[in-house]
Amino acid sequence: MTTLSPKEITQLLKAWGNGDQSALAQLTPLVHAELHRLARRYLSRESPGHTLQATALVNEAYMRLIDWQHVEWQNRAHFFGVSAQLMRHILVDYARRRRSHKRGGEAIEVSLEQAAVISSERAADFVALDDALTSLAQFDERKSRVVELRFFGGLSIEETGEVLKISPATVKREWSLAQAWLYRELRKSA
Amino acid sequence: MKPTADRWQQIEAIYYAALDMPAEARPAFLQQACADDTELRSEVDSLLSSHDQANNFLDSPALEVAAREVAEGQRTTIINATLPHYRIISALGAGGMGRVYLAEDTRLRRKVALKLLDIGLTTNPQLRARFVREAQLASALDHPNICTVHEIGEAAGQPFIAMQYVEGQSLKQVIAGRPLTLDSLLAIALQVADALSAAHEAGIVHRDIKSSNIIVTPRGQAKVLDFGLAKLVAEASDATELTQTGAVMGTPAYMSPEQARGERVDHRSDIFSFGVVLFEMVTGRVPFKEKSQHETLNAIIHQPHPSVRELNSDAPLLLAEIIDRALAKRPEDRHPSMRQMIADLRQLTRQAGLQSQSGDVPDGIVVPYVPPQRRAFFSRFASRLRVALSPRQSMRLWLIVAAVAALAVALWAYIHFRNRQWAAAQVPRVEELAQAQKFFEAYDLAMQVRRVLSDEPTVARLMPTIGNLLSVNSDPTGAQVFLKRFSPDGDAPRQPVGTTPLRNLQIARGDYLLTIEKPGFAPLERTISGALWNEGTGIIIPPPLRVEAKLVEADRVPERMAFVPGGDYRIAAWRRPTDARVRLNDFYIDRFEVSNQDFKDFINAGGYLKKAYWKYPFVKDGKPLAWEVAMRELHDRTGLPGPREWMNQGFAEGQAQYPVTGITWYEAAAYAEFRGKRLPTLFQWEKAARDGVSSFVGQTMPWGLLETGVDLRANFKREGAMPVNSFEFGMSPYGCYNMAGNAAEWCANETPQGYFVAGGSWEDPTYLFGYYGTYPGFYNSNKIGFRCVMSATNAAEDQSAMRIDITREVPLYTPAGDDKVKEWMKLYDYQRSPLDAEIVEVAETEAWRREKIAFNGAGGERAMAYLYLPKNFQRPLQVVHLLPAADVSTRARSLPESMEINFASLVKSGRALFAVVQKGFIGRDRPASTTAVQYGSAEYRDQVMADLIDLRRGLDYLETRQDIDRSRIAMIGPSGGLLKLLMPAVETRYRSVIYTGTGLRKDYLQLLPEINPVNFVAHIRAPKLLLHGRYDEADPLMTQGEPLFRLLGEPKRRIIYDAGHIPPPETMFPAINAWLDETMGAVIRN
Repeated sequence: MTTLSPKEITQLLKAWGNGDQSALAQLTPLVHAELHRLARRYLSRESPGHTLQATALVNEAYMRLIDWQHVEWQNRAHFFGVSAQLMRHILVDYARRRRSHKRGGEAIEVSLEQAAVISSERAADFVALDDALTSLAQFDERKSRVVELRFFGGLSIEETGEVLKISPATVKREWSLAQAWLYRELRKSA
Repeated sequence: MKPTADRWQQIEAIYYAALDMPAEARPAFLQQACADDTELRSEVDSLLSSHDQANNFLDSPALEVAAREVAEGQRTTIINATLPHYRIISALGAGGMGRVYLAEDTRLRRKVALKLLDIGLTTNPQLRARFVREAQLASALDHPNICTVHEIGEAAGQPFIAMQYVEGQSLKQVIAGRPLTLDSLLAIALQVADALSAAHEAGIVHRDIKSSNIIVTPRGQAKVLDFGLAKLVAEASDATELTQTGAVMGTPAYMSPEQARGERVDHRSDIFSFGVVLFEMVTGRVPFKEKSQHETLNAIIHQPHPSVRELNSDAPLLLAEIIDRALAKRPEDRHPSMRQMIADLRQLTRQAGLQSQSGDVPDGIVVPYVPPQRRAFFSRFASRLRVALSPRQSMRLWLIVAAVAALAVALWAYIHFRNRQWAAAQVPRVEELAQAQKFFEAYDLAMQVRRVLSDEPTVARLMPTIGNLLSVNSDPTGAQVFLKRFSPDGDAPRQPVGTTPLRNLQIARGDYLLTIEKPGFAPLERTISGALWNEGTGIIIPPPLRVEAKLVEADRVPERMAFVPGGDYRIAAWRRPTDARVRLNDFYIDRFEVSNQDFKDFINAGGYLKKAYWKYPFVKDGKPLAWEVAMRELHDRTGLPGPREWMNQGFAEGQAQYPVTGITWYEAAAYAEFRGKRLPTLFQWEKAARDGVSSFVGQTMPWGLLETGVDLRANFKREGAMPVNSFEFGMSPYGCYNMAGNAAEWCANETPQGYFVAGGSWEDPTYLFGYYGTYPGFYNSNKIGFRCVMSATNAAEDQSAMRIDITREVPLYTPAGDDKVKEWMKLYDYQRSPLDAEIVEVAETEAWRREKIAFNGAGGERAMAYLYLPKNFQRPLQVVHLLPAADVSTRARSLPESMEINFASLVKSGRALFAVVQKGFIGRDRPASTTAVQYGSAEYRDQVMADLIDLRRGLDYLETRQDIDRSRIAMIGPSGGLLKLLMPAVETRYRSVIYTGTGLRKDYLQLLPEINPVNFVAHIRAPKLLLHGRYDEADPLMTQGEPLFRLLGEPKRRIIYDAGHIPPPETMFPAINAWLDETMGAVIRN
């Protein structure tokens, strides 16, 4: 496990946000560690599965990665943006590697007998989602950011609104349309 | 495709507005909001249908999704180890108090929902006992609307509940944020109320009534889950101090005020929660929902709930009153009992004129279980247009002039009336054609109707389905656009439809050939497809068709090549050797495979003599070869340099326009060099062939989804190659011919095993379009040819030519012990009831007589089989039972079609050939409800077992035939597949078994053990012959063929041939015939 302090993490995030790629190498293991820690907790039934507390667990994990409280207020929005981008980057990369590791180099190996089943994997297909999100950004940057902040960054409707300086109601609507559009896009090309 | 900013804003505005209203109100709103802008309408329709299917699929944060995926992988194994008599099949989701799995009770062989409570009960044995006792008490409730609890217990400190598995949607999903109709609402409410009433009378309070705890089955039955659990869990948790301070058990939004305050509750608390559910059904939302749990609880205690009728003005007054009473803050102000509530609801039912009784599923009331999009498409509409015109004609003799005028008017009115009458009469036919998915015909007829009845409502409703919109833009604009409909004989006229930019042209849904022409520019041809996407659970209307074409000056595009724009690309085929995303430059690609004539030019130009063309180092069997040595290997049948099947450096007469084959990768690369071109990289090849399109459902082909009629669009499974310009309707999105089938094509990328070959060949089945094989550079065959590419820019950024390492792991397959297998074998027993067989159809050729037979198959259902009887051979005949390959199971071909294409030779050499039309084949659909059966589930097992019975009933039938030798039945299984491996293990009547390209597939590990072939293949007693291609691209030799061969018991023999998945006939038939002679004896000609 890491011994980096929240402050150090914040520094690294800032560095990454400013284009310092070496910061990524230090941040990635942190995210992986949180991921596995969370997985272990889901696994070991430590969590009383109550939706509320399951959410709290994820929030806690996000918090440990991203020290929300100690960021000066003016930078909060920018900071959230950078962290969501970082999560996207690392999780998509993780999914890519895990998949190719799991399947021994063959990215997707599906027999015809099983073809009907793949659809259930689509939510977890971060790689395809990442592509679709990039396409969305080409004509609606803001919706793609809503998804990035909400899904990858783990922000609430309200926080997303704060970052993008739009009302929660607007976030909600954009979130709905973005999902419909992305779902269709994922359905189109897996 | 990217919409413009203005357009997108428009789409957004209408989409948001439509989403805010009930589904019923949408069509009228859309009609009005989109007016004549059909594209807008289409796009919004498409997005709304996607929204319904998407179901907030991104609601959980990514970190959670990823972590759950990691956890889920390990969890199943752990649970299976802890709860031995339950076998987890799949996760159903996280419920209120724990995770729920679909599992099988292995003792009783029934499906159950297994709920693992997320509470620790590890310390106090007394508490544990009490928990179980009380839970059992609560589970004693026996009511049709209460989900039955089968077993409650705990294993290794893990309390679990096994309950009835109810298929359906939760009421929350049914509501999906929108009000229900009154009849659906009442049907559900009365059932739930009855369940609650029964529980209350037995002294049990639910304490956690909410819409996600109520399941609605497809037949409209409501089932309430988790009776009494909330209390038990709360107590157990208190006792073990697991609840964190401040956390309240239950679901805040549905809590009664007394529950929210943490006071004692009685049945009236359930009445309040039920009121919340009623509120949600009427308005689509819960009455109290604040930002935080704390605020929600506060609102429940202190705030009045919003007015029902303000949120839904259609709500009956009485219903609003019932809800107001149920939601009273003080328990004593609510209904005193659920009985009283039921009485009120019944009163409302009577008032609404609905017939209903609590506890039953009321007749004629259909709960909206089917997703809305599907409902809109499939429902029959009772309302038909009534033309109520009755022209009054009064003629009076004394006013002749007026009479003549009146007659003219009347005649006109009459003709008009007749036209309208005719048009109205056509409407049902339009609907029928639409149902049959004959969209060209439906559309044409609909347009005729529209000419007379411009706003006929049924036609308007069907239009998004039977019609489609096409936009074509080109850079530069001003190009002419032509369309040609796809038809079996390809003789539909090519029609000019306008000039680019072409916006929202209304066309019929279907497949087309599209041509874009502009003087001075290279014409662009491609196929387009508007086929509906069938999700299995509903249909998504694909977005309107948009084509963006970059036109390139005619003099820049090399002859017979097509321009393909660059950009990022990732391989999309199911079996992809790499996930890498690479940058492609703009490039040109040959529209046709390199022909014999083209290649002859290379030879004539001294291509084999000029070392400069041969740029790649030769490697054979892992060793480098010098150019001089290598060139000695590359010769035609007469020893001269050239393709392997040629003679005297020439091709057979009439073959000039056929693809060149029989060339190695090195020769293909040298030819490309000679033309100033290159071999395409796998990425370039695939981009040109399918432009990144792949599908969850069905097989993707260059023109779109594979449907029947593939023989009109590609050359698969025929005697040989065809001219390179065959099949215009098989053209790819960039206008390339025969990328699927005809000659398979060499690609540039190197792998440790050799080079890629893509597209499948004339001897392969259709599904090989989705597989990429690898062959050594010196390999050649009459199935493999190539085409070339050229860079369209000077930039050297293209990254797609990299070496691709394919490392495949072989899973460890451990078969179960013999005693277990013996136990499972018993599951395959079946009743040999009367077959009632009859021959329903006979066809004769010179060589054989084909009989189509009907008989009683699995479950007494009528099954069909085909039997080919060779002429001129002595009876009784030996028979070969065929279990066909994926060409038949994916419905690319009918069974007899495939039998004749693939195995005519077997019949002609004297053995009968027999095959059963299995469920899912053309001519025998599986019921729609079973198409979404999950792989590995218990239903899947049951389906497999039933399929096996159908096959074995076929053998029963063969045994009744006098002209068949019942002691000489062989089985042949081309390609992989579960049934082919199980059948000869459970069936002892085979004397001989043959497999070609068959192996163990990794996904068998997901199957239940009693149908997992890994456990059974060692028990196949008949002698086995296996033919396997060294370069099998579908069931690779080392990873799938080898493990199977190892597990099989003696006697067995294997022949490895030097080709891919499909054995060359010259290898296959002699080997099969010799094997059958050896194992069953020779056949005797009359």
